[in-house]
Amino acid sequence: MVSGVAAASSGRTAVLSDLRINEQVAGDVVVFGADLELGPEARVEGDAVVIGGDIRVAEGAVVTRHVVAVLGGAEVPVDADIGGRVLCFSSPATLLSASSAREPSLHADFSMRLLAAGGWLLVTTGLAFLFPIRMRYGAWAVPSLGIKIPALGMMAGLTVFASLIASLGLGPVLGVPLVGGLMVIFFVARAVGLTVLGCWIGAMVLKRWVRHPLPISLEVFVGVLVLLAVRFLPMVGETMWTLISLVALGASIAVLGVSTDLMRAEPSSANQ
Amino acid sequence: MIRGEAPVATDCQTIQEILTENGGGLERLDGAESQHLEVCPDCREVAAAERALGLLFARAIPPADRVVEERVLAALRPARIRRRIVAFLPVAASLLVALVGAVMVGGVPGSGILGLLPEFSTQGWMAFATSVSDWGAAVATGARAAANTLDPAFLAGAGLVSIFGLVGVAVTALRWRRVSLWRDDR
Repeated sequence: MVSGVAAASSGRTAVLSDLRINEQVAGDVVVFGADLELGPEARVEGDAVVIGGDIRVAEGAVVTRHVVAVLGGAEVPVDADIGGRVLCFSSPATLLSASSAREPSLHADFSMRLLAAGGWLLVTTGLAFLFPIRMRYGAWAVPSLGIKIPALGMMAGLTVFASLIASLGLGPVLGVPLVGGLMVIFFVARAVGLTVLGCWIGAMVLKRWVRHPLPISLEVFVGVLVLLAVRFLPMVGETMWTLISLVALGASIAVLGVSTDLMRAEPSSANQ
Repeated sequence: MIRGEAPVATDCQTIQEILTENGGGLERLDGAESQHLEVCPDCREVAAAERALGLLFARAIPPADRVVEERVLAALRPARIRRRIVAFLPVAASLLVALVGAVMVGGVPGSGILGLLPEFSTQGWMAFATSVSDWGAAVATGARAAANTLDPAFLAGAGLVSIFGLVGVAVTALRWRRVSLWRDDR
């Protein structure tokens, strides 16, 4: 039983539509932005790959090569017949916990979260320290642009998703470096957007207690702390973080909108 | 807006922003806004204050005495340095959090403090490096599988969506470039 929006002769593909397979497939199975379920009668003669979704493998299912879940989870029972490896990454920030999935460690999980939180704080406060006017402008623009920011973030997210598919479709030689470049651009845009959102939130939080002007880096620090606290909420944290990331993409474009005249004032602007 | 006044095409906040941006000058106000200014004491007060501030700046700049200017700037230097240090503190605090996380994950690579750390730390970076390598393997597997299975027409469609999306984002960024809070054409 197969449901998908695209199919090729040698394998199965689905985009934004769940795929359930319970039969023999002579080739790879690839799903983008949805879940893949391999039933007990499934026999995939190739790789089973899900990008942006979960993969569930039933007992008795056979995959002759790798089972890969990127930006999603993988449920693979012990008695499933997997010829290659099971590679599962819910996000780059969970690399360590993914590697130690068989022996979950509270210490390792906490350490990785602390490292990820510190990394985001360092990048965002550093951006605020180096480009205070651009970031301040972005934070000022957030309330005036309102719903346009998440809307544009959705559009940018869709563009990244389409680019990811197009890049992967070019094969490993071109696809891997292109995906790497895409991830770098996505990370930079998200960092800039998080700085802007952090500044906006931090300013709102801090002005309740402090009346005089504060350094933008402090506002960003407090604001990003709030966002990270949301991220590490149990159950809903990762979903919220995905939404925050999309909004951050939109906010980063707000920063791109700063006029060049304003940018010329940046070097002399100290840090306020 | 003044109480009891008939609704006008614009409001005090907009007019006061224009007045602030133009140093109290009235030349940027259109007919309705000028009319509003005649009947609104608050806006007239803002215009007068901005003009007074402009006069103050006109007198103060450029400074008549270079020595005084240099003394003032020298007196301000410690404050500017202090302000930069205060602005850097959150960056330093972030670095500290990241370092604590790094040490707990597996120690700072290449340092001699690994031996002093608890048992969980020694394998952290090794596992992390393995995972990064696995990430590359996962992307390569995804690329190979996608190239084998995806319809070329579908791939071309994804490429087109990417290009249109990029153009849309670029156009929006350029469009928003004019949405400055202190732009002249408001």
